[in-house]
Amino acid sequence: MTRATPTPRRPRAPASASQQRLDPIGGLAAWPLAPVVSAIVVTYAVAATISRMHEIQLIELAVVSVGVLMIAAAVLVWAARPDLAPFTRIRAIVIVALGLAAHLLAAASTWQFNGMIQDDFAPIGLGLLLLALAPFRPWKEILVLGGSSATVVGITALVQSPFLGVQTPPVLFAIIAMTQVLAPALASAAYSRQVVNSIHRWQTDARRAIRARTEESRGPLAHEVVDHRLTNLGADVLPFFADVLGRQELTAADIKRARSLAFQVRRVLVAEVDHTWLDDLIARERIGLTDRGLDPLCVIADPDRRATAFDSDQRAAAGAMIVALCTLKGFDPTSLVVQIDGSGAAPTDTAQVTQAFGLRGALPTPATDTTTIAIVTAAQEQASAQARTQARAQAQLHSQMQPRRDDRDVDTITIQVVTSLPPHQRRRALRPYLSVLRAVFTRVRVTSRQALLTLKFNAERTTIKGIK
Amino acid sequence: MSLGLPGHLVQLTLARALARAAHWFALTCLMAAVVSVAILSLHSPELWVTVGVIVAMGALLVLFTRHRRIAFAVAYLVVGTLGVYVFTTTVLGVPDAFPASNMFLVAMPKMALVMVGGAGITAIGGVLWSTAAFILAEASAFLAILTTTVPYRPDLFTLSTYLVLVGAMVLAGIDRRASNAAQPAIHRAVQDGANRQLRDALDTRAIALLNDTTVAQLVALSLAEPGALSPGLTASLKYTLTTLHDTNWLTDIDARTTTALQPTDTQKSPSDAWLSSAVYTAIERSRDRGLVVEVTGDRDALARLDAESDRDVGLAVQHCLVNVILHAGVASAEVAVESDLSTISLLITDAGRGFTESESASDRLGIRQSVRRRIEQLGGSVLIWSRPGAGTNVRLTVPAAPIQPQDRPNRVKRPAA
Repeated sequence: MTRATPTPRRPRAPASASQQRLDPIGGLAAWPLAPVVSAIVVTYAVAATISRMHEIQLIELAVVSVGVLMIAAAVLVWAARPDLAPFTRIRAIVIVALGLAAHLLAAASTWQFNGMIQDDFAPIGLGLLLLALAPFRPWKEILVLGGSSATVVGITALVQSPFLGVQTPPVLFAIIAMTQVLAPALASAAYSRQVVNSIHRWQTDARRAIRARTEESRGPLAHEVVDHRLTNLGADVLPFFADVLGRQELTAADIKRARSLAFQVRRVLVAEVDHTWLDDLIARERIGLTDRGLDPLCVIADPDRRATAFDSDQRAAAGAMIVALCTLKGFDPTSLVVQIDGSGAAPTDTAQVTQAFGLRGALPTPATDTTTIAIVTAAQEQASAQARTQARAQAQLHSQMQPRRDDRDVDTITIQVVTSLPPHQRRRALRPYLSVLRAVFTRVRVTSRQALLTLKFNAERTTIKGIK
Repeated sequence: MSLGLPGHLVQLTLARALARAAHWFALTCLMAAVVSVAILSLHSPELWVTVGVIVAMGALLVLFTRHRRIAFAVAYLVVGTLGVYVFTTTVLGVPDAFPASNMFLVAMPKMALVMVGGAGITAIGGVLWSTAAFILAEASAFLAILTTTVPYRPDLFTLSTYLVLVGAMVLAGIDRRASNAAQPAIHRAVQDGANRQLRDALDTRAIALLNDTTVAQLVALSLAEPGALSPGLTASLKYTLTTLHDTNWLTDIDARTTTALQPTDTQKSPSDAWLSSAVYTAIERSRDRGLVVEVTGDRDALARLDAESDRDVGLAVQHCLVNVILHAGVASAEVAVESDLSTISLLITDAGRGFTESESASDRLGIRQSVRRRIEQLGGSVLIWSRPGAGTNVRLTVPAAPIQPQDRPNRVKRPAA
């Protein structure tokens, strides 16, 4: 009997994952849940308070209680707004804390005169608020918030049990009050867990498919790269090599030409090394716009090549936004400006030479390709040995004094375009792309002055300083 | 993460998540009902029968959640309707306990029954299941209440639960219609990004190889004396031309790397590993060009590098040594190999004229491409210390296979060749 090969375990979704974080566009669609739930919570609180006026002893406390629950509902609506995404843990805690405060105030307002626990508006309101967290927060967090809220609600019910109008064991009141919180909270957590797992599973499969598709194009891409390079070299360098080799002789003109070609090739290679994914993306959009019969002028200002520090999600989100902007109706093809600047050091990809020791103002020594090896005298050799020993000691000291440490640098990306599309249509067209930007960047700001639309967002990157 | 669910998966995913939520809501209600009647039955033993009914409902719900078969849903609906009847009759039949029929306790099995609506794969299906369950539960409870002395009051708990569930299902069914165009665009952007990354990696390697072959060859020609070509120059010109004319040079490197990645190097003895390492070859090449290279430190540690790392570290060291020959103005350099548990460092030191960042700006391709990018692609790091007149130190650090217990550091000082 053969045993089936076990299927590899899928990677688990991170504990902090929520539907909004993993699938920002889906989170966008879930947003109407918040105002609907808030409206139900507030309406029920007001109706329940009015219908139980005969039980209320301190009307001020009852009013404050309803007011606090209204604030909780308002915070929920505010926190779930797509333009303020992501929905943070603090926001969830504030909402639940306000709900609990409303519950305690309501219990105090009917102290010793509460007829029935099941009529209290706060536990149900709290449960509904927890239900509304489902698309925005991770399931474990909802579970913890639900569990702690249920505990508080249960204890409050037990404390009130001697004064209630129904003659049943006190623990029954606690169970009823806790169920009103726990049932929606567990439902909310179950939804969050299931949807996050489904999205994560899809993302894992999709990324695998993307990798496979990319690998398939490795051969053609490598050929393309080689062809491109050889075309650049083919015109001058290769015939020159072949010519020299054929003649088996090197003339002064050949040496001069070799020097000049070395300079040219190196300059071309340096220019190409400076290209980033953003340059490529904009170049492609430029071609697309030209094909549409437009005369594009797209400007990139990224002198430190900070775009190279973006991860693949950030590149995809920013790239999709730029493509979406270029295909907007009424887009002015001469208006696109993408600028990246930042507070921290440039990404290490750029050549950074550490001036570890000595005078900063020392004059540079010219070094060219034609530098010949100097004749080293005995005295120079001795001096150089000393300098070498000193350099090594300094280098080791430097590396010890600068241990690895994590630091957070922030790059700010600014995208500006001019479009004649009316603001509401523009907002509608860009909303899904903005929701994705908010999931992978921080502090996404959108401002618009007449036809000029400005997007600004921050990319945080952790750099390891020290041996780098 | 930016790869959201594509349109065709949205409805199914949300329906499943809603079903899961509904089932947990129902299970919580059933558990609370069981615990409550168990407590009540301590004083009224006739209530024990309700415990059995609710447990049966719970068991069917669990079966349905696990297997999602229509038969279990129907069974849950039938048993649930009977259960609601028995539960309502028995609980409200407890004398002098409940003032009216609209007790939350009585509503618990009804709310659990309504949650069968999560079974629907589509929004309409879910709404139909929930509606059926709601009607059956309310009818069953109404008939049960008629058999008791407790006055009938409408049960708003079950009604509002039903409305909230139906609302959620409808919302899930109609969502995202406006955002359907953006999701494929994001997906395309991710695919484009992956392609671009691969192209960049190939380009990086191509530029490094061109820098090592073509530019180095041109520089060698520019430094040579006029006259007949030396045998060394002839050989290197032939090698360069052969390499470049073979249009598969980029993929050949891949193929060589892939085959070389087999862990054959772990079989080698340490000294063999040093002699066959690319670093040794690079040093030998520089010695052939007249540079005096002193090697110190734990040379045998290079055996811990895999084939790809060995090749790239060798090329980076070669580039550093060529820089010494071309720019430093000295005839000697030192290569020190250091290792720890997880990394190997090579310190290439010369006491030459050094350089500054500004002067190297126009000439930085070699350091950037042939040294820094190569090492960084291996997951390593490069640190350069230099100052005009005080020499240059380049430290290359790359990750290596963890040290084995038999790998004793074998510090050998090799005299200048």
